[in-house]
Amino acid sequence: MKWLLIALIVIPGTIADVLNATGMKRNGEVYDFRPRAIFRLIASLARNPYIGVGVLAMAVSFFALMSLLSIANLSFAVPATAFSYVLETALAKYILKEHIGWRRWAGASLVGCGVLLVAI
Amino acid sequence: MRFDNRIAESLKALQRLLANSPKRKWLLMTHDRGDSDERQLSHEFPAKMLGSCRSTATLAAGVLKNQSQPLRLKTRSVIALLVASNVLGNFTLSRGLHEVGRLVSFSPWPYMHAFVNPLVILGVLLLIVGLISQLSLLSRVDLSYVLPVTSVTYVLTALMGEFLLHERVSTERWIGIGLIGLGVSLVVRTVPRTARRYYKYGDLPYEAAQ
Repeated sequence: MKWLLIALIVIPGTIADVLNATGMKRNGEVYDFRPRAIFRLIASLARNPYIGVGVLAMAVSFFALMSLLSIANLSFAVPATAFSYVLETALAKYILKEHIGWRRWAGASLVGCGVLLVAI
Repeated sequence: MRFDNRIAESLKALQRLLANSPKRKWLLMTHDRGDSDERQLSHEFPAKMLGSCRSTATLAAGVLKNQSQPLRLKTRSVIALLVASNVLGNFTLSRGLHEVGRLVSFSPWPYMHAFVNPLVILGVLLLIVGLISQLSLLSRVDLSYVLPVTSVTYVLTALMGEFLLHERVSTERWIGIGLIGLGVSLVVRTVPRTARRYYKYGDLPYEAAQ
């Protein structure tokens, strides 16, 4: 049960981030932060299939985290999310075609280790 | 407003200056090189010439065009907004949920009940602000840049526990905070956007449309 919930946190969470990144890159750069422009942005995002599925996957991951926290300790739940920093960096390289140099690899690994230590 | 008008006047004067002065030579040269009748200048340029700053030139240009300007935020401001709203949102939400009591149920009613609590509402609103700023950040910057940089939230949450709630922060936590800081300082030194850009023509990447 615990491992199923961990899978339900990591996999939809990762998919959500990759889909959101793709959807937002296709939607174009956001540069106007006035309230009316924000509402227009939300309206256009609601019609964007990438963002729709991405936010749905985000919700799945969030509720799985809530259920995991109610049956297990934080120190069991967080290492999985810490691992996703490195996993998502790898996916960003191969799916989103981002150029990832040593600084980003080292940074993502350090942040993952740090999150692990902070949560315990 | 009067100040903006004065800058607008100076911009008009600059227009005249460019039209009939030695600057004409520069204009003609760029005209030949650019091979078009229109020159696009950034607001930085008239600002430099008037000895003022870029934002003033933007305001003045807005007065000239007699319309409101978009509220532009720099990427770093959006990151700060995202981090602040996530930290405060999580804090107020957990405070509010503690007030509500235990929430382990498959029926939706206890969750509905939780939404009457003002702290819960505030927390959810802050998290929505966080989501929108994260999405707008992703529209400009790489995913592999956004993720490590926004992990500053863990650091701030831990520090808030130490200084506001007077929880003891253990040695492991301090080491973790140090590692996150080190990782973020490495990632911040990379170019924020390396991913390919999509162009609106037929929704194809630029290379494929060639």
